[in-house]
Amino acid sequence: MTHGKQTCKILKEIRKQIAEKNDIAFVTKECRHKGDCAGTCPACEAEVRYLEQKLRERQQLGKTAIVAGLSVGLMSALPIGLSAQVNNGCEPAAPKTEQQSQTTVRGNVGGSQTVVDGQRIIPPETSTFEIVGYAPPVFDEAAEEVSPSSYDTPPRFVGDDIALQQYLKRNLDFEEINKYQIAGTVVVSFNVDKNGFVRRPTIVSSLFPPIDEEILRVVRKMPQWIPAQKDGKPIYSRYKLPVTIGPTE
Amino acid sequence: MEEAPFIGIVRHRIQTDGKGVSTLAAFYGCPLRCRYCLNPQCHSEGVWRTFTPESLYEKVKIDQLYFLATGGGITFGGGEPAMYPDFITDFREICGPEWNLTLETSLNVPADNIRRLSSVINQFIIDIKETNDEIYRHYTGLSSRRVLDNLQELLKEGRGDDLIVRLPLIEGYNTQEDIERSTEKLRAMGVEHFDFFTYRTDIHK
Repeated sequence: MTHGKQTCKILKEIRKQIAEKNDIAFVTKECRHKGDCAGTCPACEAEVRYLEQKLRERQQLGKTAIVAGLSVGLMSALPIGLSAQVNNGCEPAAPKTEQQSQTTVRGNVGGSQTVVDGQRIIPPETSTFEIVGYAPPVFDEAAEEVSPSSYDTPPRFVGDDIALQQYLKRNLDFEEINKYQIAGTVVVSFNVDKNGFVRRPTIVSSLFPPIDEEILRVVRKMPQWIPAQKDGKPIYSRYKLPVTIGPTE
Repeated sequence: MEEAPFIGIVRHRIQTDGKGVSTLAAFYGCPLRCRYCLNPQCHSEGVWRTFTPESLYEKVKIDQLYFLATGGGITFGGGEPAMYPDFITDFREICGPEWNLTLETSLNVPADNIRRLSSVINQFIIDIKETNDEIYRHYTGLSSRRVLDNLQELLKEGRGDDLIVRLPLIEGYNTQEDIERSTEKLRAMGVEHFDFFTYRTDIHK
């Protein structure tokens, strides 16, 4: 992967973490750009402006915006010295600072996550709240839940069960889950709205709270489903997903 | 507020020169004339544009979300950023205490500059080049005396944990044995963190 794409991937992950921690509806678009990139683009920049707007709204409602130190752990896991090699937002040709590092002995980057009181979290904007280039996900709130018997077709994960299993395997933190040496099934229930967004996941059948939490975390991050259908139209529905944790050795 | 000349700005540097996601702001001008200078445009006619501390803040604040989330901020380099202590201290007043400010410097500047900068800089990356004064003078054109004096002052202030000293292997100027001698000398002074690497000479051929 090129440096630019690597940078883009890391920045995308930081944006996701910020959105998750602050309960911001956020779906980052998969980058389809071929070839090298600058590590950012108008679409990525628009996502940042969107998150800033949502954090300001959160503060205005008296809620705390959680950002400071949120992604320090992500940084600690990276190799030192990653930077976009192309003209990433720089003007004109990039001045250089690092020659060729062979051996590095450095202090630990680490730090603990702290909550900012919101005073200086985001510089005040003088422009309007319109964010050009990013369409925030539209969540559809049903007046009441639809019972399973009302479906013609149930909601489904894109690629069906096999893809769903692969998604769970890729995203669950098994190192954390296996720590507890527990096997069994967690049942998660969630709504799938008319646009396919996963809403309000809850634990219906618990295995062990830390494992339940990890599964909830991954379910919250799920990409859009294909919504349930009735009479050829997408409808709001509820889905129960059993997640089986296998025996550990 | 004063204006300062710059040779460039680079966004989205990840753990390169400073913690987290950082933006490099490279000043124009340097007292040294290193044979293998990585940014020779910092001498002669390489000024790209000027900024005041306020206009620089307006330019770089676009990445504030990443700075706050990752403990990152601005890395001042160049050129020699320690030639602009007023600019950097004014910048700190504008950006506030949350941003991590890193100074990438040779330390070959008046002691008062480093004294003033120390209160606003979180981390120093010091390209010490060589502790042997003869080799240093041969490579840079200046004596290394005030480099070691400034380093000593920073260590006396208890900033040892915030310093990374770069010790390069410079083809035609020093050897691995010279680097080992420098390392011992610097460890004895109290330096804890080192970065060993080899200067690129191919770009100057």
